Amino acid sequence: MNRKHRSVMIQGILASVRFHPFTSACMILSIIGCIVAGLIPPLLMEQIINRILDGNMDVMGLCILWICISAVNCILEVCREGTIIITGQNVLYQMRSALLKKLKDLDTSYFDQHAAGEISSIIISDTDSAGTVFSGGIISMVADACSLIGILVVIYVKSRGLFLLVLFVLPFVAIYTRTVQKKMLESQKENRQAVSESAAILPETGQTYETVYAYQAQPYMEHRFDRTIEKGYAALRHVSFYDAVYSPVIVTVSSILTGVMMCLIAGFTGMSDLFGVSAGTGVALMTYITKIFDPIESLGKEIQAIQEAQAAFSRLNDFMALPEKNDSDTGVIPCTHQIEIRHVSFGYSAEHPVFQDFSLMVDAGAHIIVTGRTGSGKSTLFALIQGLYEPQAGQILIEGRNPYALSEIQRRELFGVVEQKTALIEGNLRVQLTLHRPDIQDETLISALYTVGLYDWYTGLSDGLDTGRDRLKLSDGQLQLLSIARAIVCNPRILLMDEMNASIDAATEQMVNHALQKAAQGRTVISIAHRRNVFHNELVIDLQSIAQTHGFPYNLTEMR
Amino acid sequence: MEVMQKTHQKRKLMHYVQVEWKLVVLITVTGLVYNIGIALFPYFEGQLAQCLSDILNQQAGEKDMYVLVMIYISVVFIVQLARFFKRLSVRYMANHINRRMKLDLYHSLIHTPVNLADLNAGGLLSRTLKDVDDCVEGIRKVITEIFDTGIAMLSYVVTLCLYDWKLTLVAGLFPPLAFFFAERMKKTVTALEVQARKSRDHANQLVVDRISSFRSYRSAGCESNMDETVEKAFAHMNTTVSKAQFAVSGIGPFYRVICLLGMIFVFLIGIRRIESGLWNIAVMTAYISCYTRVSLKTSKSAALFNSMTRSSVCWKRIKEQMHEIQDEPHVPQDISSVTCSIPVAYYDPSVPVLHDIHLHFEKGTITGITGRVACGKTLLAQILSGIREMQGCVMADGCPLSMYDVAYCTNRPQIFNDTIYHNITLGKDGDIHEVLQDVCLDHETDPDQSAKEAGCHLSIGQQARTALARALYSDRSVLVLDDPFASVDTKTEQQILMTLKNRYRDRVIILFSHRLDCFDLMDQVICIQNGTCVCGSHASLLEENAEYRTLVQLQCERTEV
Repeated sequence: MNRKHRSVMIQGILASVRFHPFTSACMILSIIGCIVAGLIPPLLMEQIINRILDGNMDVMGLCILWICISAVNCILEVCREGTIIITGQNVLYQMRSALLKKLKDLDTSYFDQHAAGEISSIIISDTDSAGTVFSGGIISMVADACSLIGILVVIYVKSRGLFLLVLFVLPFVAIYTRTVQKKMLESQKENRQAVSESAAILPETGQTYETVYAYQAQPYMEHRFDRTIEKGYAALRHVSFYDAVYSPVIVTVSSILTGVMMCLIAGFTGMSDLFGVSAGTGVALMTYITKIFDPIESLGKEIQAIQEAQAAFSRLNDFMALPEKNDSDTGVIPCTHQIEIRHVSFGYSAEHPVFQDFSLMVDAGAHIIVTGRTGSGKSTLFALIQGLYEPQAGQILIEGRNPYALSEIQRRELFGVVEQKTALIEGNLRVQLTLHRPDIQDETLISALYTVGLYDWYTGLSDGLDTGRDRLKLSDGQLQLLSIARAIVCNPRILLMDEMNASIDAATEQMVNHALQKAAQGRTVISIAHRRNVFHNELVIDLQSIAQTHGFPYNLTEMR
Repeated sequence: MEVMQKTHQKRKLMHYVQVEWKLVVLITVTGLVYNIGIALFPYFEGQLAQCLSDILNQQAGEKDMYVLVMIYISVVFIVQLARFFKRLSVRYMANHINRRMKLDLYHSLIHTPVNLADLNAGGLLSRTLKDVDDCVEGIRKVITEIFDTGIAMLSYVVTLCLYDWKLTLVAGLFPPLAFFFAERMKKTVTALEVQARKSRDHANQLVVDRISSFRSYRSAGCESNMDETVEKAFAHMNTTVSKAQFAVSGIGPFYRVICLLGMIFVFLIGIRRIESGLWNIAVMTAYISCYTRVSLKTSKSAALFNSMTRSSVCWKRIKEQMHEIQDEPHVPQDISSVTCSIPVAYYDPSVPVLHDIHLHFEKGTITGITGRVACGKTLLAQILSGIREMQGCVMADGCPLSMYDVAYCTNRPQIFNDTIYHNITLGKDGDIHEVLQDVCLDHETDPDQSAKEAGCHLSIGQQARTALARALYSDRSVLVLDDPFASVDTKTEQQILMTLKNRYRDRVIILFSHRLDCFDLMDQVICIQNGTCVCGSHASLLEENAEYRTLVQLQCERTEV
């Protein structure tokens, strides 16, 4: 089911505003306040100077006002920066939250097709890039644009002439700004490209080390390394140039503008209507001129940041647009067997079906072994029973329910899975056993450890269940025991034991088999491969031979 | 660009700066011009205002304004030109230092004796190169700050004093006060940054965990619960990062408020001076403008010492990787025989692999060495080539065999991301056609074609033959070849072996191989069995040694199939 989605950033912004209305209001108010408070002091200064020139020394009141408003301006700036930062982080939080929530709605096949690193980087780095855009980009852009407009309005009011002058110069300055920034960006990209090329030499150096050393080929390698670095520096020289040239030019233009304005005022005193100035106004205008160019430069940078974040944005939106699991089929169908696999066909891709019209019935309490060569479908069978994938045809019923659509609580009570590759997750021993499942008493955990034979090891830990992950030193065998304990902690009715690949010696294998026997009591157990000698009353289903001797379609019904 | 120092000399950070002395001079000159000239701006602003006022009061004419503006713009131009050159020079200098340091680092690492190569050479190097970037960036910031904050402040303060030193004494108390507060905040800022980084790392780790272990969570029906944990981490990150960012960039304007308190005095005393006629508008405007700039600078000044500490931390790490180099190119010796006497050989001292090795090799002969899988062939190859030191000795004509007299072809060919020509010559230019012919590569490949990363544009057989060509091309007297005929058909293998026999009589050739078809061409055959070596000719071993016989038989069966 594809829910209609809006851009993930817009959603984040709206959510942030909804949950933090006070901060958002403060932010808007302080932005406006800053703009206003920034425009006033030069006007006050104008009054002060004019009064002094007129011989009126009663300006202390105005001076105090100037100081106060400047101080308020500073405080508002602090407020503005603070609220922008907080809002930016809130938006980031909302975005990350939404992406995180999406994970559990994605079909397992997505995780098969995309590397973990790739998916994590969407939640971690792409949100960072997009988030920077928000605080460094959009809001600041709005603030700077308003700033600019405010200044232009004041200039217009004070002096039509200067306004025209500024309007004339502004487009050139804007074009100059954007050109320089674009060129810088291009050169930076070239530099990054060269840097990654030179970085490629490093793993190569590691891999060819013996040859380089034995053949005394160091000068050769150093020459190659230098060549790649040199490429980067050619680009870096351009970056340096544009970086160095921008500001001096702007300041010079600003001064020329001031100079021209002064000349025009002086030379065309008849035009004082157009320029309408007193000395005080002249000083104020000089201040405003210096204020104009900063917003222009910032606007350029913000546009750039937004452009650069485009790639990150589209990845985020693509992720949120991924189709979600269709897990609405939550009804119960009366069944005779605990596990019913009815005429199931399934394949990871259309061209390679793993099962075709496969059927299997298992009663509660049965112990079944599934064997077969690699690729015959053992792990896939497990995945289907657990409901990680939905069959393309046919039906799977676990206690009458579709496993694909089980709720999390139902899943916990039903399945315990001992995985092929056990990995420790982040967290202490308690978390390793609970996997963050809630409401599990410590006693349950300890009794699970006892069942699998890890009790002695556990009592040897000084911090007990709170022992941190780095302090848990487990051998391969112990890791397998831990994974069995993990599987039985919620007392599941069905235990699925995948083939554990670690190679362990005979003594540990015995330990593990013993643990499996105890863990399997009272449950339905389906396990893979070599543990033939573990269970009594086991039935062996050989998927390979099913495929070879009987071909598809095949209907196998095994009862206890 | 030359590597800075070939002889061993302790690296000092100042050396890198000293080499760039021309740029340092340029930076100093332009820096002084800019940062002193910058104090003229307030002066001119004052003058312009005064001139305007005079004109409006008919106390001066337009021409005065034009002249003033001309002077103003010229001064601005010169000062900004100096600024441009200063900025450019600082960046160029930083780039040069960056490049030199990286080359020196690479030079140092690549000359480290091979046994240290057990460390992850690639990973260590990339981390240290990042340190170079950070260190040099810090140097650049420090130099910039010395001028833009240090000298500029000095100019402003001097200007203020020139106008009215008594006022400056009073009002001038406040900017240092603001600076003092900024300094005190630094500890808090660093602590907040550290906390934010920890929180961020933790949250990211949880995200990676959530995704890489997703199957465990999904199977166990606890994805939502894990998500809750991650969300908590996100929320914590939200708070800590906000605090840290605010402390770094948000607080700045607050320090200006402190300086504004000083403005009270400026106004009070300024107005009195105007009343008494000591000051005019020019001076007042100039003073206020100058003071405002000082307070702006103060709010940004806390950044200065951060750059210094960061740089020195990075430099310490870089210095550790710079080693003293003894760079003596080896003169190839002409060797007529090699003897090897090793009592015990091992990878790990507690697990001996070979024992009682006594071998002898003559110039102009090819020796074939074989044995079952994992019998210790590669270990023996490493010892013979001098890559691995072991108790006992490998002698060449009575002197210890130097590894630089051996051309060692490793088990897996090591190919560079460069043309075949360069892969063979390794920087020593010459004619490779003969050698290409000898390894039967001349018709298959073009010497100028690139082998690409790890030689992926070449087939494995071509890679192995390129490595063999490399060994032949080098002038070394001893050739130790570990399985060089991988993926090469028997006919070509025979051809190459015949070429080696006929055309490389001046070398000692030791060949390790599984492929025993051509072992009848060998002058000597050695079979490694149960950790020892049995020597003889192909015929004699076939007769006397059961192990060798079995190996040959297996080889035949394989070749038949």
